[in-house]
Amino acid sequence: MDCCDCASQLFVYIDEEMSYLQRVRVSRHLRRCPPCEGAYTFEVELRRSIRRACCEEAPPDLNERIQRSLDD
Amino acid sequence: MRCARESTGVLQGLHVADKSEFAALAMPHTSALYSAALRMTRNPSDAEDLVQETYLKAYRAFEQFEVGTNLKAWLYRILTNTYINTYRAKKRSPDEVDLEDVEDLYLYRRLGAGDTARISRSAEAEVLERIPEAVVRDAVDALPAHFRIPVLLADVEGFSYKEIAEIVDVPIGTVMSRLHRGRRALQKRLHDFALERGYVGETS
Repeated sequence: MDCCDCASQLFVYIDEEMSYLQRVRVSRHLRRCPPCEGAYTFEVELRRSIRRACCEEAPPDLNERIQRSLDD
Repeated sequence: MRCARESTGVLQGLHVADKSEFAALAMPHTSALYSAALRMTRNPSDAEDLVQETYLKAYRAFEQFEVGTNLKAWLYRILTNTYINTYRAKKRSPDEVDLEDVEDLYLYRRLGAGDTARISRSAEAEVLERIPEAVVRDAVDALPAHFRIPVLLADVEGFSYKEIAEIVDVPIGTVMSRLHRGRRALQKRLHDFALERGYVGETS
């Protein structure tokens, strides 16, 4: 596996949607290749940032509004 | 009566959902659904309306829901359908919006010093940390809805490709394509915004 292949498969790898064998191939490459390992770590971190940025608390009155409309 | 319903359920091998269980099962997901609705509508007031409408539809359809299956995915499906039918319909925009092709590792390659031989993990992550959450949200919001929705479902909620396919009602291949293209386009938008607003410098 070369670095280009690895880069193009990173999303699927991180998504855990690969077969066991594919996963082993990517893991092996990451262990041996510091730049790709760096890219992988970054992509994981970026995903965490997206999740943090996009998680909101429902406004306090929303739950009440929903309950009220269900009771009607 | 509860006993009768329970024994019927056992005989049928199916736990038929009981409306009195709806609140206990469904209400814990309001924040998650609101988060998604906010990124879909990009407007807090519309997001609240969308979530409320979703819960109402879900409640009315709850008898069809098979308890023990994925309630969250089921709720998201109702949310997504309602969004597409109610809010997207108003816009009359083409179904498949074209998205530019963006290379792999777009953001990673631009946040570091650009020298692949000596990439230090922490340099890129450090720059990423400096970018405010509001800028990340803006980048997500800048994606066309057809790409934004799968990205939200995968990256914020952690749904599988199969679950996303069921929620959005497209084949898994389409999910993967939109997801991968959407994520790369998100990285480009994030970089563009961060650059515009001075959180990152130009790389050669």
